[in-house]
Amino acid sequence: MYIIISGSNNITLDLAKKLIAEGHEITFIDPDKNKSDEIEKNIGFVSLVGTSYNKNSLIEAGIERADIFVASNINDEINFVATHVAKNLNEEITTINLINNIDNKNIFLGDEFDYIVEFDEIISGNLHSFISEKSEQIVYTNTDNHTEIVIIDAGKGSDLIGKSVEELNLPSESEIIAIISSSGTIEHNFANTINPLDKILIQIPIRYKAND
Amino acid sequence: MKISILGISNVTDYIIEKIGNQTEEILVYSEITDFDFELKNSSKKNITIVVDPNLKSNLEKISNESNKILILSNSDTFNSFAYHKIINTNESIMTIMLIQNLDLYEMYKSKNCRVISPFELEKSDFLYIVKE
Repeated sequence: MYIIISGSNNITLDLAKKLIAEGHEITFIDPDKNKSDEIEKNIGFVSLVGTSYNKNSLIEAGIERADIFVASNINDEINFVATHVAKNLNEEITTINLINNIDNKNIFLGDEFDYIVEFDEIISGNLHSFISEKSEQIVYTNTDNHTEIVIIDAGKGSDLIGKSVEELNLPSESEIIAIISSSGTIEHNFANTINPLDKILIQIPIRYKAND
Repeated sequence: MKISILGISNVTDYIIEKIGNQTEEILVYSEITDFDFELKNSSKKNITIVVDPNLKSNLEKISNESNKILILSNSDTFNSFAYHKIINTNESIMTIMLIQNLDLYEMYKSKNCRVISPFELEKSDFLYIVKE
């Protein structure tokens, strides 16, 4: 696919590296010549010095043949207008917008905005996953077969709650041993969904963390 | 009638000249102090200049307190963003934005946005803002 990225920063540089490794074609648009030079130097693909809400810059970048437009500047106003222009030039393009200020979310809901990614949501999601890891407890390590027994506490607000065992996305070769309810009942029938305060007893390969 | 103007630009001066005498109250909001503009307008009784560094966060409040809003800063991206934010909050209020880039101006005009261009100022006396 051909992807145009407006705004170069650590997020989009990392994204571009991954996309190129997967065989996609990328062009960055950024008004800062220094950033553009750095992209060329480090990643080695075409980078365009220009303003992403400028029609001519987008046409020069090939917006009419692009499949995806990513607006990921640190300024929501620029992302907003750039996406308007991109969609106006190519109705078929899929747009992805980074929202920096969650208070602005309600105006990124028009037809131009196919996908929105909230910066706050990314951060809070990551923080939550780190905190969730704290609720894991290794109770036994078996070095002979390279497994460990782990208890995961679903807590009161974990994203595990309401999921079935199949939905837990555990690493392969994992095995659920039991689910212990808050009342102390030990359940070996895993047909039900996870309830608040359930504790899940799992055997997993040592090299994995339970929620990888 | 209370008209709020967001942003100070040459077009702000121009429009105040056109409608200033026809309007009871004009509030001009700016993120920074513009001394030339203040000097020119501070003696006019119906014009109040409000310097608000948090202007972007107060758009909803301003729109709730205004009869009409003109967004006339020098930044097309701010003007477009503020316009859509206000329209999204309060669709019924008359909101007009200035767009200086001709391509953007034509795009928003084709989307039926209420938009003015510095290149077309002479075509209107802007009294429709007061009368409508």
